[in-house]
Amino acid sequence: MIRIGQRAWTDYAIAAVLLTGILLTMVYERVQLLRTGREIVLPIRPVDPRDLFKGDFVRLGYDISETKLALKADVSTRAGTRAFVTLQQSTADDVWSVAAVTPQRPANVAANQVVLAAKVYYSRLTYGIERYYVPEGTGPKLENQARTGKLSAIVAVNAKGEAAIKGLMLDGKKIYDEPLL
Amino acid sequence: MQRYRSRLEQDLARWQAAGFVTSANVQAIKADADARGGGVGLAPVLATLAAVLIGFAAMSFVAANWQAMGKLSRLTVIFGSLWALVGGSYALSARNLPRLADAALLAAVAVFGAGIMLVAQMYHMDGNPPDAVWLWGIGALAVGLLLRANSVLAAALVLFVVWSWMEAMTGNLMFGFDRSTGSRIHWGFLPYWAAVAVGVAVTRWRFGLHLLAIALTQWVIASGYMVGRGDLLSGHGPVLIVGLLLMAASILAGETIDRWRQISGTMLNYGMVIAFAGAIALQFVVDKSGSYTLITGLLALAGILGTLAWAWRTDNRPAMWIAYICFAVEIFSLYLKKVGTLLGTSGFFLGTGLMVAAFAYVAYRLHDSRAIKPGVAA
Repeated sequence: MIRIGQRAWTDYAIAAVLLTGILLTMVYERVQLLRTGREIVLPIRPVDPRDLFKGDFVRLGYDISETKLALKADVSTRAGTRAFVTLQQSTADDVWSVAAVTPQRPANVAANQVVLAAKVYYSRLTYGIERYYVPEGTGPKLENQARTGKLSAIVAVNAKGEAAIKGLMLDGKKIYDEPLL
Repeated sequence: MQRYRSRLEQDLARWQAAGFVTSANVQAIKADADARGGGVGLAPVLATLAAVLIGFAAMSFVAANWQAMGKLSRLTVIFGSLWALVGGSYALSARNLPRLADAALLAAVAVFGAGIMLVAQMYHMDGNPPDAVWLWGIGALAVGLLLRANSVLAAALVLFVVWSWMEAMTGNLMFGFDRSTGSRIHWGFLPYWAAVAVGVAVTRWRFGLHLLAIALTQWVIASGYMVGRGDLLSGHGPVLIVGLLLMAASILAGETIDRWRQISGTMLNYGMVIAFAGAIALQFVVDKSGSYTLITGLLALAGILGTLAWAWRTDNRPAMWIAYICFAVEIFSLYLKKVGTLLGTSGFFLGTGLMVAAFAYVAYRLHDSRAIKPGVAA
């Protein structure tokens, strides 16, 4: 093995800046999404308790994850297919529910609608908001709350349809509300 | 290193006694061996292990999701250790301790990976899990190329292999891949493999070449399984052909290749592993029996014995060992699968046993005639 001289400190500086930059970009994009994204509240359906707590995160299921295939006749059900889900807020109870599932982003979106980018797995849709990390050992508590009360997620959605969890609500009260930084 | 040194001393003593070297030569050779250092010292090995431990510490720190510490403080810890390790690596490099410097860089890359997980956890990100491993690999690759650090390049390669498997698994197995759509070969792996290869070429790292070969070998073999299950020939057939082509190139053009770089023997080894993996799949994963098993079994055994003979002729020890292992696996698989009936299997083994015994006799005669006339052929 041949070493091509000693390494320059500038190369080290570039390496450190690069790695830090990648991480900061991740944080920045997420904070932007949480700060500026439109806020919607999605009810969490009781997830199979055996599945709910998995290590240090809780798996969340949503009503909008279980869309019947009839709704998306023109969307392939092949695993990993991208789809756009238009949610509409009902005037009666403020709940967001699926209005349409389309392969492309719909051109016209009404004021009481929001579009989420999703991935198809079988007849399920995932939005990247299915995990909620909790401090070590507190998972079972949240699991109990989900079964006894009405749990919902506060979700921020940006213009691209990306979604991020802002916090959790139990019976209309915020139980987890995290600072951006 | 220690082993090489003691062997060298024994040999030198013998050569000096035989009058091949003078005592001045012996001193010069010993001095050269000491000056070169080479080998792998204990300190760098321990430092590399320490780097792995630090990496695991960082990852457990993330997994604990210790919320007594705010998000900003957690990020500060990650960035702080990242910069400290990169800075430490520079300090070690400046003191001309390149291997220790590489260990520190490896730890920095591990902390970077923990950082990705930490950010994902802090913001409850639940995207495509392979993406996180890919991003980690990109960071490792960039640092490895920039600072020409072998252990970091190796880490990047491992991460890309893991990423490739995760991509294949999430698309293929976990979510019921639709076989009718055909191939699911992960071509995306190759450019990253090539990028690591560039780094290894720059540092001229010999062991890195083996890592690259192993990574590519597993990719070729796995690709055979990624193609639809119902279509074995289109999946494992090409794997077998790729392996045989490598072996053929090594056998037919070995001398030409070796004039460029001494790799024809190694080519044979990897070619044999690939070809045999394809052959095993074609023989035993497919649901056929009787004459199919008989013919393919005979062909496989003939191929293995032929390679063994070639390996012996060219004094390629690793190839001989690989051939022995292939032979054992082949025989055992045939025994489990059965050639027709049990009695038929017994007849098959007896027949091939007698044939191999005949080869052994011929080989013995050949060896014998060479032993009588030393210096001829061999």
